[in-house]
Amino acid sequence: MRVVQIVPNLSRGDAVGNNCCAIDDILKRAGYDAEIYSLVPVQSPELKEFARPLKTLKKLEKNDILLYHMATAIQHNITRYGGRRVFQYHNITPPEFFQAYDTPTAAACRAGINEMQSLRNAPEACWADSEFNKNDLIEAGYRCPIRTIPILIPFEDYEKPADRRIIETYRDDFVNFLFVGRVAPNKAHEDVIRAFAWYQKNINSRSRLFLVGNTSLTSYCGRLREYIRVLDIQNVIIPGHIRFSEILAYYRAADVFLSMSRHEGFCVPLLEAMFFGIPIVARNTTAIPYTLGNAGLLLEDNNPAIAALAVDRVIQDRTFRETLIKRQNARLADFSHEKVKRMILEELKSFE
Amino acid sequence: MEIDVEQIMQEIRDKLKDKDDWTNLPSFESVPIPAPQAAPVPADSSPACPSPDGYAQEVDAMNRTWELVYAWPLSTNPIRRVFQRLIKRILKFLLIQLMWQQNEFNSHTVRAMNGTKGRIDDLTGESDRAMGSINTLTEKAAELERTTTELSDRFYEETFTVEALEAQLGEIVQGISGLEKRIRELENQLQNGK
Repeated sequence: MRVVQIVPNLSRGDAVGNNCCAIDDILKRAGYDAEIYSLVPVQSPELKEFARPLKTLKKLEKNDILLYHMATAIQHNITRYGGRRVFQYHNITPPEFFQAYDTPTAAACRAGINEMQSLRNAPEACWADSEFNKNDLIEAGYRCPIRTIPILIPFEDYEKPADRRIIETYRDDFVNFLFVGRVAPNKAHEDVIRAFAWYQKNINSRSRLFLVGNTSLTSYCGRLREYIRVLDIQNVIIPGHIRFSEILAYYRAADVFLSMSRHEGFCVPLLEAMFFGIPIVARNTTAIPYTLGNAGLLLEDNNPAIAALAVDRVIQDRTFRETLIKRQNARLADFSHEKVKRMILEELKSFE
Repeated sequence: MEIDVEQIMQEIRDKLKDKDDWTNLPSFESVPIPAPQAAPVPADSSPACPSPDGYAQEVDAMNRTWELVYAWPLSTNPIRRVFQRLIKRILKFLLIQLMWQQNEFNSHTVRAMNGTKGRIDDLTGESDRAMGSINTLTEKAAELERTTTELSDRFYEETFTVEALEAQLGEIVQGISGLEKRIRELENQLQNGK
C-alpha cells in the first residue's frame, strides 16, 4: 500500500518534522510504499532524500493513503490529489497571542484556523496528538472518526552526549529551573520568570532559570529581558539558538521543569523532561493535563507564589519528588516508540 | 508510596496565608513592548569592542536574521511579475545551494556567538560574585586592621604597665634582699652574743 505524507515544511528540530520522518521510517520498515512531500522546498541536504516538493505530487490511486500534517495554513488544495485522506492534527496557536507582537504570524495562525475549519469534510479519518486536539477538531465540525495518536518521538536521540561545559558550569548547589519551548507569548515565559522571581526573592537566592528555545520573536523576547531587569532578579539564562548537545546539557543540569504555558497542542518538552527524570510543575491548560496524565504537579492558575512554593516542595520533599518521577516514568511508557508505532500501523491496517 | 496532590496544594495555599507581600512583584503588563529594532548597524560603523548591552543586542539581531529563505515579494505589475518569476526560477538551482551553505555557516556562527554570549554572561556573573567576595574580604581586612591597631595600642599600654610593675618588683626584690641581709646580720650578732 502506498502512503503519502504531506507536511507544510520539513525541518529537523521541529516536532512535526521529526514526527513525519519517524512515521516514514516505520512505514518503510513495515513494507509500505512511503513518501513525504513538503510544501516549502526542503533546504537541508540531509532531509532532501526524505522529501520531495509538493508540486511534483501526481494524483493518487483510489486506495492510496494521503496523510496530511495539519499545523498551519498551506493555502493549497490538498483534496485535488485524491486517495483516502487522513489528517494528523498538531494544533494551531490562537492568533490573539501574537497580535501585539507579530501581525504576520497572527495572520498566519488565523488563516490556519480558517483552513482547518473549511477542511472539516475532507478527511476520512483524523489522528489527533492529544485529547485536547481531538476536542478542537470536534468543535470545528469534524465528524469523521478521530483517534488520539501521540507524536512519535525518537527518544534514542536524547541518549546522545550532552555539552560537558554547560553541565560542569551549572551542576552546583544552585536550584536550576528549566523551561524549554519557542520563546513565544502563548508559552507565557513571563509567568515562569515571575514565579522564579518570587522563588529567588522569598525562598532561595541561590537559584537559576534556563529559558531554552528559539528567540526569533524579538519583540516578545525584548519585553521579557526588560521584565527580568525590572524584577531585579539574577541568573536568568536565555541561550537562544544552540546546538542539540547544549539543549541536552540544560536538561541534565535542571532540577525542576516549570511550564506556565497557556496554549499547547501536545508539548513535547514535557516528555523530554520525563525522559531526563526531571520533576514537572505545570499550569493546567490545553493539552498539558492530557500529556502529563496523573504525573507532574498541575497548577490551577498563574499565581507566582503558588508556583514557587510548589517548586520548593518538589525540591525539598524527597519522597514527593521521587513519587512524581516514578509517575512520570510510568506515563512516559505510554509514549514509547513501540507503542505509538503499533497504534499507527493498526490504524493504517484498518484502511486495507 | 501514595501522595495526595490536593493536600499538598492545600498546604502550599495555607503557607501563603502567612505571607501578605506575594503580590508585590511588578506586573508584566507594566513593561511596554519594545519598538521594532532598527536594521543592524553596518560593520564599519560598529565600535571595535561593543559594550555588553550592545553585544547582546547584536547577538539578538543575529538570532532574528540568520536564516535566509528563498522568497521575496514580487511586483504587482503583471508583466514585471512574470519576468521576476522567470528570473527567480532560473536562478533557483544556483541560489538555493548558496543559500543553504550560507544558512549552514550562519547557523554555526550564531550558535557560536550564543555560546560566547553565554560564557560572557557566566563570567560576568562569576566576576560579579568575585567582586562581591573581594568587597566582603576588603571590609573584613579593614576590620581586622582596626582590631590589630587596638590590640597593638593595648599591647603597648600593657608593656608600660608591665615595665612599671617590673620596676616595682625590682624595688621590692631589692628591699627583700636588704631585709635578708639585715636578718643574716642579726642572726650573726645573735650567734656571736651567745
